[in-house]
Amino acid sequence: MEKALIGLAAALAVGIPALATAYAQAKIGSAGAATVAEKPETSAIMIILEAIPETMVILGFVVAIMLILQLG
Amino acid sequence: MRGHSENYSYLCAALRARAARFYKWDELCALARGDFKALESEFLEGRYSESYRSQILSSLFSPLRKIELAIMFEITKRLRSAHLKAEGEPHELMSVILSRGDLHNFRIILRRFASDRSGQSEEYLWHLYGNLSRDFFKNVWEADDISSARKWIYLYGDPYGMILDEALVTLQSTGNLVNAERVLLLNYLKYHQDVISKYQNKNGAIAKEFLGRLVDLWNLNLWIHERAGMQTKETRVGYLPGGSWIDDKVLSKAKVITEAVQGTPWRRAISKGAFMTFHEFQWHLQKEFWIWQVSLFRRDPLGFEVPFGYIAKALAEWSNLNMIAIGIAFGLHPDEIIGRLIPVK
Repeated sequence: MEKALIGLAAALAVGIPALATAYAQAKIGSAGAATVAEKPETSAIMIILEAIPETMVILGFVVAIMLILQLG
Repeated sequence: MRGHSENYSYLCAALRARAARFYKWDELCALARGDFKALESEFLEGRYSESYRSQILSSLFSPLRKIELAIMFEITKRLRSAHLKAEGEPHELMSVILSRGDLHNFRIILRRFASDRSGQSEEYLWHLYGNLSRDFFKNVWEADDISSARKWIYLYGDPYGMILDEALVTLQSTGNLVNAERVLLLNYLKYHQDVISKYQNKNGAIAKEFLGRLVDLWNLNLWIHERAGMQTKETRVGYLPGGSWIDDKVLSKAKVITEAVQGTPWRRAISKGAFMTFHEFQWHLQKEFWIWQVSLFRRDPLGFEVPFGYIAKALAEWSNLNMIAIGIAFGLHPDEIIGRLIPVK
């Protein structure tokens, strides 16, 4: 039972940030596309802005690995 | 993407990037302090160069008229392009706000039929970012009398043109321009209420407030006209219902304007105008209306505030550049020109 709960926690640790990231990237992506279309010189900063929400999933992934490692 | 919020993020980002092309306040002041040659060279080399150069090549008008035409074409192009970028909700709400161009043109046509039009040789610079085309306004404008103008409206067959038709009928039967304008504004509001009622959200509320403030402005101007003795008992018309901030019943009973505008955004115009002429007072009211519209541009980066503010910024730039060009051409003092500019800080 404990193992199942740890497994579920690991899944949630990745899943929830992934959904949040997807939502944020959808907003930033469409806004970024429009900004780059109007001002091509902003493309570098737009790529960085688009990548920032990705850190949420990466952190979630790290937490999930740590949880899975506890399973032995 | 139709109607989805993603369209707002795309549209708003595009318009915020495009807004960088508008002149900043300091640049406008610098233009106002320069001479006509400096203004012309700015139009030749600057952000309006494409439109201005095409005027140089295609028309034989005076330099002032060419500048006026270049501003008109450039701003109209920007507004039409912004409108085309929008889809779903923002597109429909932008249509409501952009129809102010048609309303402006309708008012000009009403004034033309209410007064002696002899001596008018050049075609009026129409605001063509709304629903109706230049042909429509040109043909109605050139009609010999109201009956011929109405024939053109029916020939055109656009339901939006009918807003003007009823106002022309009122003008023909009563000869009262204010009454005709009242009918025009009432029909204009009725036409757009259906669209706005579809969007019972924050974005729809902005468009609704815009129309409400138009009503407020009209009512306040009517109050000023009455107090200035420009309205007799015979020509007096009622206040319009549906204002955003000003209750028409309170206004009709108000002995001093501060009673009606207490606690509303319009009070700022009043506080500035303790000892002003009626014209200055009207200007301050207009200015408050513009300041509110432009201020929304930076309110919510994912809402209707951005396209709404963009439209206001574009039209404010039209008015400001026209003011600068005419002011310099007629030798006004730079401070006087700057005092007449819409603040876009």
